[in-house]
Amino acid sequence: MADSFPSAAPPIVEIQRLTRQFGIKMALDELSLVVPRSGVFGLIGGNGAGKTTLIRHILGMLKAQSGSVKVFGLNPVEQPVGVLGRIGYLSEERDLPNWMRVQELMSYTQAFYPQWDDGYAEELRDAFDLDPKARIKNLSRGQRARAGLLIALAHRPELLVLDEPSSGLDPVVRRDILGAIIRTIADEGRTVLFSSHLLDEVERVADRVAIIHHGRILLTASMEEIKESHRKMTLRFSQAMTQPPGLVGALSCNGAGAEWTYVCNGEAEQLRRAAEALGASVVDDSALTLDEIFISRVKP
Amino acid sequence: MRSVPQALAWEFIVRGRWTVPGYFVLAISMPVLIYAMLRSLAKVDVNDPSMVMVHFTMAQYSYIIWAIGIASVRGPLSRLYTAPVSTASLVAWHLWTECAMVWLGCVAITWLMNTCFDVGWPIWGPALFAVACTATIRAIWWLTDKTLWSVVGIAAASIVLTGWLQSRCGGWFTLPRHYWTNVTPLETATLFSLIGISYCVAVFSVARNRCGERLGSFGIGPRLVQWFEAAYSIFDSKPRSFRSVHEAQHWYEWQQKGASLPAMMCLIFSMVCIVGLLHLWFAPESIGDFEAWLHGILVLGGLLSIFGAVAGFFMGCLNLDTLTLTADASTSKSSQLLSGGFVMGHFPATRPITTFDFAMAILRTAGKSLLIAWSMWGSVLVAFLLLAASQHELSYPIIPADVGYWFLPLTLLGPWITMTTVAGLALTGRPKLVFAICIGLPILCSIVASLNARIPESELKQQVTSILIAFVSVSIIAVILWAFWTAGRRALIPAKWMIISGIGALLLAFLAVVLRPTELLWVAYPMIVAFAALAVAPIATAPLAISWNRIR
Repeated sequence: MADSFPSAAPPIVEIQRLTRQFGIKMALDELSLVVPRSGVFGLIGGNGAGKTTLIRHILGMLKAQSGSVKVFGLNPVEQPVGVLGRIGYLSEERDLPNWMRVQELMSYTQAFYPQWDDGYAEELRDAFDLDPKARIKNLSRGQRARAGLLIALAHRPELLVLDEPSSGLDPVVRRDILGAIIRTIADEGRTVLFSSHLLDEVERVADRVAIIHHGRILLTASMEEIKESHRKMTLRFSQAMTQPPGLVGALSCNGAGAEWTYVCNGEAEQLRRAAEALGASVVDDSALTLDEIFISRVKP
Repeated sequence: MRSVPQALAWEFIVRGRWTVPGYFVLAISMPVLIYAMLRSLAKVDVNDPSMVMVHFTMAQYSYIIWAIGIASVRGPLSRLYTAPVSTASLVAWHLWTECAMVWLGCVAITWLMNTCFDVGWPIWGPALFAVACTATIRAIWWLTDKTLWSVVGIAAASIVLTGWLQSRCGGWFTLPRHYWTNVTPLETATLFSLIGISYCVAVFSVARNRCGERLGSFGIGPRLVQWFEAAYSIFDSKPRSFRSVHEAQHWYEWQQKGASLPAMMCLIFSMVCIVGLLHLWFAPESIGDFEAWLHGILVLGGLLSIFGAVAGFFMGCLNLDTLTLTADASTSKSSQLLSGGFVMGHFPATRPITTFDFAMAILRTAGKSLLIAWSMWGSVLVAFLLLAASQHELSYPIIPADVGYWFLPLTLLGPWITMTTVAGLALTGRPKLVFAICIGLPILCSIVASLNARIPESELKQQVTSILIAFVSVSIIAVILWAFWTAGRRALIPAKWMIISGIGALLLAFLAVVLRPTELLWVAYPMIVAFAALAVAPIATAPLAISWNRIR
């Protein structure tokens, strides 16, 4: 699917033909991606698909072996301060310094961001119910995530990057994270880029989605476009078949006998016509969840 | 795998296929280097008391390094707590195989030393002693698992065991005078009993640990923590605010690593005090030897360079939390443990701070830490000299002529160079590279020293040594110049700092040449310049290393 770029504003992240290899493993394979300014961009992919590697390139922690990465129009490797100063980042590992207290973490982080908003930081700390005197090492996993989120949000970053923010967290903390995403985009012009396994979450908040698989972008489009262009159709043929007949736009197919269910990419009317051309009648036609689309894309 | 011991053996072989030979080389390289150098200087008389002392120190060093290597490869016993195996078997597999490996390694080290250098190191007694030490320390480690008692227990055991070994070579409170060649049945029985008792203690301890019971702390540990927390909160009642990024980063570094070198000095002084008290109790006649004490304090000043190197590892560790966590969680494979600590994690890597500011915060922490430690040593030296003067025991020159007053600034410059060099290596976040350098450098030096020792003519030998030293010095200078050039080209350091570094190095070299106590050989001049360059090198090498670690 062609990436229909929705905004005239310059993109916040622009990646061209990025390649990264770790030993013999190709982590990113000539990957190109554009993250438009403002809105929520969901990056979804299986384990080892290359999501974190991609995010590390955006943060300037990995140098492009080939291709280019631009964030705010800057190279994050050459201008780390210029780029990182405008990004709020929450890592999957939540590797905050254990020896610090929450208050110290806030004061320390504040020094790096001139736009740090003290009032907002306190407001978040209250909302997240974090004791300022508590040591990070004594916080639970969920509280650590909240502390990480606090320091990622309190300087009102232009770009909020969340790497698997909800993994291993309970529903209450996940709600806080989703709340944070909503807070961020409430400020005009701000962008959230987040990677996740939890596709229902992505489906709920993302405006645009990219599916990454084996270091390549399989699909990138707005949520509506994706939903509209993927259908699940059950077709009934006049006689039983051992192999399903090929249907234009079919991504996957399963069934037996005369009834076969196709997951297809294309417009509903177009797909109906294709089915009729095969001599089949459409028994069922429904929209797909992001989960189903993802599975059909990565595991056809 | 058909049995648990087989599975454990396979695990040990796979985990240790690189690290075990590495630790063996590391364990043997220091004595090889020392004996090779001694041999290149003069004929070595193994019966000389100083050589007995060298054996006593070097053998212990090698055995300890080897035992640490084996322990680190073995991994924690806690990973097997959920296995359907009795505690006695679990401890037996772990302890006996570890003891066997330590024994084999110690015998091999001693045999190699005797074969290569004909040093006459005794084999059986020290090897059995090393096994007994391994079992004892392991038992105490498990007994005091995750409590403050482990520090006390291991320190006490180390003092008693070292004293016992010393008594085999002379007396409990005298320097070693002879080799421990004849192992009596009583000594053998003592060591075997110690191993047996250690096994029983280990089984008891592991059985407790396995069900989550810890050694009672009588509330001392938590109270101490509470006390420190309360004391800390007095100084920290107001929320801190930082005026600049550099200040914040310096605070971050200082909080984690600042105490490393002063803590080492405190530990050393505490141990000296304990040994002094023991001497006072058991051998009061040996306590009043002011000259020996002065020598001891001066040696401690020299040892600051070694402590500096150790502290350098801490300074270069960007993620001390991870290091501690990994050790606690005990994945414990050495390489993983090192990677966890030295590879820059997301948190430091994503701070919007320039690499130069990052490096300067670390160097400032290292400098402050060193100054405090050096001041502690200096204070002890001055206090001792005042005491000696009041007792009319002060002899002149205060610093022995063979050492010279050059020694005093070197006690500051030496640790700075070792600390920042090691920190620079650690900051690269490439533990394999650091490990290879740690292993490769001693091997290379040993080979060169051994080859040099084989040159029959002393004049030729001296010339070859001079050329080698000059070559190494010039290489160091070239590498440092390259580092400055690269860091400058990549805009990692400001031009101002490059100029300051250049002036600093030239000034140091100039001062060293002008204030030289005696006429120097030609080879000393490139060495002086190399030392001066090493002193300012971290200004370029630290940002380069951090950049290499931060952006991969």
